[in-house]
Amino acid sequence: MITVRETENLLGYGEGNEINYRRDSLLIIATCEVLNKLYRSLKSMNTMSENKILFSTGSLDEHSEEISKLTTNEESRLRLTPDNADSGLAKLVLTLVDLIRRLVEKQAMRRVDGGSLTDEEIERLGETLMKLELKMEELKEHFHFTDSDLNLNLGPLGDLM
Amino acid sequence: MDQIIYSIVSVKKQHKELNALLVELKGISGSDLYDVFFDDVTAVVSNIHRNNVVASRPNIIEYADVIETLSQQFTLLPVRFGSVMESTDVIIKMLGRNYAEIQSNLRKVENKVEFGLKVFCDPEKAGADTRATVPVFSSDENSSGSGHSVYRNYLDKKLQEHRIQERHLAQIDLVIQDITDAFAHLNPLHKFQKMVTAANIINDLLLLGKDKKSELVLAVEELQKKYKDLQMLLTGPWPPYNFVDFKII
Repeated sequence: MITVRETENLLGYGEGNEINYRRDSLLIIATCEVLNKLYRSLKSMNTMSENKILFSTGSLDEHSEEISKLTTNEESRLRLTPDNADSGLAKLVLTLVDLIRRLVEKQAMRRVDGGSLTDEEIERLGETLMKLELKMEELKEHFHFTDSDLNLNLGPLGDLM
Repeated sequence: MDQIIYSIVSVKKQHKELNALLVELKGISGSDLYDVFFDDVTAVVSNIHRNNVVASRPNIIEYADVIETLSQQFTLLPVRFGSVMESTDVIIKMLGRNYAEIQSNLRKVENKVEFGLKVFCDPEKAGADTRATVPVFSSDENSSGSGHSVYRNYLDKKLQEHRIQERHLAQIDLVIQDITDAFAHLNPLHKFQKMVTAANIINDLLLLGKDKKSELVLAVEELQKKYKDLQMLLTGPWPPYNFVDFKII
């Protein structure tokens, strides 16, 4: 609990300062009240959190940091505004194009792994995929996007890619 | 004024108990809570201005607190934050339209709670271990790799990455199978997510009986002994946030 004296110190009041008793004391009391309420709510949050952890190994701080990556990747949010409509749209389009490219690549790898392609088909596939990837890099460079810019965060679903 | 819905509660003959609890509880920004009922289901709501429906941390915590407290006494379906309706009449009509689905979901979660098991790995170590188990591969098995075109070399590299990923996913599937087997005697419903992040390789959301908590903890302890390279985090019990399977119409 925070006392009035401690709050006075926090607010920079000390000995030798003249205090307008009426106005400042009300402010001090109000500040005390707010700080104590915050302290109580923080304490109850912590208690609730502790009661919910039934089993844990490893570092809770590291786990917490890992989980928070799902919601705090601000770079990957799509923010369309009138001022950035063209680059915002480019980001959306390139994200979708890259997603499709990766899906096609994955399917191609499964086919190669399956052993059903001829040498010529494998060669052509390699050429196509390589050129697709190079073109994607060119487009990213043109719009000044990085890989993480195109990895949209879907909140609870995690990252797109 | 609009009304924000916190949850849909199965009341049966416990109207008095619910009302007593709602008098003690407060909603977002200290708002009063009250119930809107249709037959034996009740929506717990509070008044709110639509502009104040902001998904800030304090609002979310207050919202979750209400659901958490209610769930300790009643079977309920948590409602997604931000579900706002114009009036009590609209809410009653909504409850009527969705009554069958609501009842079906309430039956599914009756006397049950949700737990979350997260499994973490060290991504670098796991990656190195997986790489060590995958032989270096060439798409042309008869060739030593020399004289390949640049396209063939590119494809070989991609194929190697693909095989490593597939091997990693197969290993994760084995862990998931072990988790399923370890918890089978508790008769849970599972919802698995794989590779949530590079380190968080498995999320398992479980719905099981309220009385199964200690057995679940024991089962997780046994799993941890088997998988010494992984870390596990078990949390709960929670209201059944992830097991409400319908959309309000």
